[in-house]
This record gives sequence, structure tokens and C-alpha cells, in this order.
Amino acid sequence: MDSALLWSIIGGFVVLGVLAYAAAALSAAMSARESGTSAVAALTLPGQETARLLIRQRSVTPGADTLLARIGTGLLPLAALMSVLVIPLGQHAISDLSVGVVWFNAMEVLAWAAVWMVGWGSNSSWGLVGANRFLAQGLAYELPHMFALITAAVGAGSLRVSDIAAVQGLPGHLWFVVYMPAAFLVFLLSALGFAFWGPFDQPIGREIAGGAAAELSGIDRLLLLAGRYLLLTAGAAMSVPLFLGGGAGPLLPAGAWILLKTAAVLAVLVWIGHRVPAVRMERFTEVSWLVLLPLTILQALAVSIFVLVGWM
Amino acid sequence: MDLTARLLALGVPHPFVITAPGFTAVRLAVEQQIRERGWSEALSPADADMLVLCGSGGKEFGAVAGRVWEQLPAPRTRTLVPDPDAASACLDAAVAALRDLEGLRRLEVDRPDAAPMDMDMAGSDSDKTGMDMDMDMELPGGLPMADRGADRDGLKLDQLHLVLGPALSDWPSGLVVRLVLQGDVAQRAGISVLDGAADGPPISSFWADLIGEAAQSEPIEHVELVNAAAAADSLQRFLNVAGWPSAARIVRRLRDELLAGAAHPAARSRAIDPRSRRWLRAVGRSRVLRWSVAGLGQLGPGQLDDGVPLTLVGDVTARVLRWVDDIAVVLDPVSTDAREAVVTSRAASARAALTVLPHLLVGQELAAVRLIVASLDPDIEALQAHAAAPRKSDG
Repeated sequence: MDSALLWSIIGGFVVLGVLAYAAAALSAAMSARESGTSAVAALTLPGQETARLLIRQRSVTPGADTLLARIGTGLLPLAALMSVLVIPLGQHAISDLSVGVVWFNAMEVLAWAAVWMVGWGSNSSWGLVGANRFLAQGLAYELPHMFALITAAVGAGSLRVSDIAAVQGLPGHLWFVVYMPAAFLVFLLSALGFAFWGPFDQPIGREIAGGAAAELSGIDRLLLLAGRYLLLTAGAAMSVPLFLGGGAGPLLPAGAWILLKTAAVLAVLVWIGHRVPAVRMERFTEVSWLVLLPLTILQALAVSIFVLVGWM
Repeated sequence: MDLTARLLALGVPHPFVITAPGFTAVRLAVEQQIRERGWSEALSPADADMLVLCGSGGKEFGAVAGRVWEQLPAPRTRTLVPDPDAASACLDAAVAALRDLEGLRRLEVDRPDAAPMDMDMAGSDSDKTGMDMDMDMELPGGLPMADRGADRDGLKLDQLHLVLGPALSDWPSGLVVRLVLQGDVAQRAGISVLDGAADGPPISSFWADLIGEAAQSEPIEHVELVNAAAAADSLQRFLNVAGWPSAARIVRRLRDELLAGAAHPAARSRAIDPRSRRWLRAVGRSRVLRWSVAGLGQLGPGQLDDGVPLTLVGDVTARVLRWVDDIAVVLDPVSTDAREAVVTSRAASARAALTVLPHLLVGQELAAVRLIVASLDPDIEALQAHAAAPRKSDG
């Protein structure tokens, strides 16, 4: 392997990791403020939690399918790392595939398998309920999510993530968020969904004793929690080349703009998670299929017409 | 100092709190300590490194505590908090034990590795839905396979027996609900309550006593303050169940501030954080919350023979907004409309809640079951205190 590629992989993963830690720290600080304790002191909490989990005994329930559950916990952070291969974090993506959008979608769908395997494999009622909740959630967000992704690809006439970002930087072109606001909002919703964050965190909900994560301890729990923040970060990072003009912006270099925009979207996602109560899938599926799905189809239709007429 | 000890010193404890009937005061003190120390409560034994028992109960409570303790992975420690004043010292001692590597290692020496556990643990499964397996296959963990039964559509489906409580976070202390689930829909629900210690003093009800005292001694605002604190306690539990932990943290802090205000009336006005008002209004107005829980657990006034207490009438949203109003009376006395004071004894509403619960829960899915229980929030303690001293008025 040539060393430039190696360094770009290391660099990309480090940036992703730092952003994910920042998201966890921001969430911890917001929680501390809500509890009336020091927000600054809470910034180190994710690190302290990592230390705690590293030395904890793994927990095994009788009859657990340990192999399945452990593949699941490992798969979650892996899916996030793989998805970020096609996302430019800094100047270039690690591997700018010609089907980058499809690759991102496929990696994000791995989260379905991962969470379900964890919940089922732990042989606990709470885990089972949490795992199946995540499948229901996937059914609700995935189709609108796919239409949102494809709308951006249609707008640029390419599935390559760097092409999509580049089109938005051309003179006479606006950021895609202007042409396709509905697709952008649906994409953010589904980023919350596949990272089971905020209003969509019921698969590991408090009221089912932690759901899919109920029986996890030690390194297993660490991987699941880390995977969750990495996925959220990957979602935020992907929204920048798709809808927010990639590296386009005045004064600063493109890499800096990408990082700034990613951090801003990530902060908004974390904030939403604290300010909006959970949405029960039983009720959300209706909205998702009857409102969001037609909305994203109409959005894709509108963008297709724009492209044909030559407006974008 | 080796690496393990260093990492051990870095971790922030995740306590798992179980409350015995009659020890609400201890629970409140422990929860306040946990909040002020910046710890977060564990949701399941697997995530916990500290088992905190608020008071001691009867045989059943002891058995539950023992089974939860078995499930805590190492490193772990346990502490029993006998009274509210001891909370701080007990938690200090527990943290010290959790940092003491040698002590922790000694504790785990005798621990059997992967011991067969009693699966009837509160909040864990005593049975398992599963694949259709041949009986000659080896069963996972030696556990019995799920029974089947007819569901409401006449299909034969696996039945999952799930016990909710008494060791479950954001759950009314002392309540046990035994559910038979098919899929995640409750087919049957059995209700029972934990008894207090047989040799201990009779159970006293924290909230009912406090309200009773306030009604006798102070001006009317004092009763409102105590009522608001009780409402905040129920509301924070509900918000956690409804999946809004941020709002729950705010309301939990508000509860502690209201209780402090009730104890020292002079310090009352400055004790309350102004952000609490904004959050409380946000909770009362949240469309997402209403949309998510509306229509669940509907109770009409005539649903019971001796009438449903007015505090319980309506659906989940109606009951929750009543708590929000109870708190708003104290926080925003001017802007809140004058209301008719609804006085229902906590014991009477707990009794009514336990009577209607089995009917309300059947046919609901698990999330709805938890929301309905949280919105009724029966005060088991008040019920038991009332039963122990039937002639005494319990406010």
C-alpha cells in the first residue's frame, strides 16, 4: 500500500474520531447543564467513560448468542468507518468511488444488521424489543432517505460524492439545499434515525432498560456507543458534499469549510437530540410513509425537471 | 500504580438504584446526590458498577436485590442507604470501594464464572420468544422454550413472560407488573406490590405525610409547593419513560429545588433556576410529546364502581398536563389560571390506579404499557401506609 493512501486513511479516521468525540462531549456538557452541574467538567466524560468500559468485565446472559452479538457490536463502528471512505473530510475523500452515494447507503444499512444482531444475540427481552424497534425504525426512515440521496445525485448527474460537491461550487449554481430543502431535511432526519440518536433513540430507550444495549458491558458497550457517535458524525459529514456545497466558501481553504460545516451540522443534530422528545415508531411510520415518502418523491421529480429544463 | 488502577480512578460510577417500599425520602436524597456528583444512573445491571439499595424491604425485595447483584459485571460494589442523611456518606464509601483494586479483586475471587442465573430477575426474561425448534435440539442456556397461546386474531403465537419492576429505572417503587406478551403486545397483565420488612417499622408515605404536614401548619402556598414537588417527581419519571431525558433532568433538578424550598420557605424564591420555567412551558406545549402519547390509557370518570379520582381522569396527556399545571402554580402564580383545587388522597388514587391498570394494559404494546403506568404513577407507599393505619387521614 502506498504511504499517501495510508496517511489519508489515518487522517480521515482521526478527523472522524475527533468529531465524534466532540459530539459526545457536547452531549455530555448539555446533560450536565440540564442537571445543574459544571458543563466544562463534563467535556472529559466521554473519555472517562471509555476508561471505565475498557476495564469492565463483559456481561453474558444465559443462552446468549455471544458470537452474533459481538459481530454486531463490532460491525457498528466498522460501518461508520467504511461509510466515511467516500466522504471528503478535509481536501479529498479517502477513496472517491464512482458509486460513492450507493456505497454510503450500503454501509449505513449495515447498522440495521448490527443493532439487530446485538439485541437478538444478547438473549434478553429488552434486547429483543430494542432490536426489533430498530428494524421498524429502519423501515420508516430508509425509503425517504434513499430518495433524498438519489435526489442529490440526480441534481449533479453523478453518483460520485466529489462530483456532487463540485457541481455546487460552479459559477451560477447554488447549494443543493436551496433546490432541494425537503431532501436535506429528510436526510438529517434519517441521519438521526440510523445513528439512533435523539428523537429516534427508542431502540436503546430508557424505558426498555437500554434496549439493544441492555446486556452490554465493557468493550462491547464501548463499541456500540462509539459506533453510534461515529455514525452520527458520518451522517453529518455526508450532508456537506450532498447539500451544503462541499468545500465551497470564501477566504478559508476548502478543507476548513468542510470541517466547519460538518461540525455545525453535527452540533445541530446533537442539539435536536436534547430538545425533542422521542418519537414512537408506531406513530412515526405513518408520517414517514404518508408524508415524507411522497414528499421526497415529489422533490426528486422537481429536481429532475430542473435538470431537464436546464435550471441547474 | 498499574494501568488498571489508573483507569479505575478515571471512571465515573454508574449506580443502579433500587428503592424499597417506604423509602422514598432515601431515593430522593440518593438521586440528588447522583445528580450533583455528575454521575449517570445505569439503566440495567449490565451497565452498573454500583448497586444502591434505598432502604431494606421484605424477603422479596432482598431476593430481587440479590439477583440484580449477581448480574453486575466486575468491578462492582454495593451499598445500602438506610436513611436520607446517610446518602452522601454511603456513596462516598461506595466510590472508595470502587477505586480499591485489591478489595475489588478479593471480592471477585469466590465469584463463580458464568454461573447459571435465576432468570426470573425483575426486568429480565423468564422465558424467550424464539425460533421454532425441534425439541431434541439443545436449548439455549438450558432455558425452557416459549409456550404458545392464541392471540387476539386466533393465531398461535409464542408467549413472552416479562416482569416489570421492582428493579427497573423510572418505575413506581414497589410495583410489580407481570406481562404475557405476544410480539410486543400485552395479552395479560398481573399486578402485585412488594411488602415492607416484616420486622421493620410500619411503612410511612413520604409525600402523603409531607402534604399532610404542610396542610396543617403553613399558609396555603406551602401545600402548593409540596404538591408541586410531588408532581415534579412523577413528571421527571414520565419524561424519562417518554424518551425525553433532557427535560427529565431539568424537572428532577426542579423537584430538588422545590423540596429545598419547602424545607426552608425563606430561601424559596431564589432557589429556582429561571430556565426551569422555560423548560416547563416547553414540556407543556410540546406538540411532538402530545402527538406521541395522546389517546393512550383513556380513563372515563365512571369507569370504576366508586368513581375514578379526578386526578386520573383522561388520557396520558391529560394526566401529564395536570402535573405541569401543579408545578406552574408555584413557578408562575400570575400567569396560571385560577383552578379548582382538586384534592384526592394519594392512597385513593393509587388504589384506583392499581384497580384499572390490568384492563388498561391489555392490548397495549410495551412502550404504551410503560407510558400508561408512568402517567398513573401509583404511590404504593401511600397505599400501604393507609392500609397499615386505616383511621389516619393521609392528606
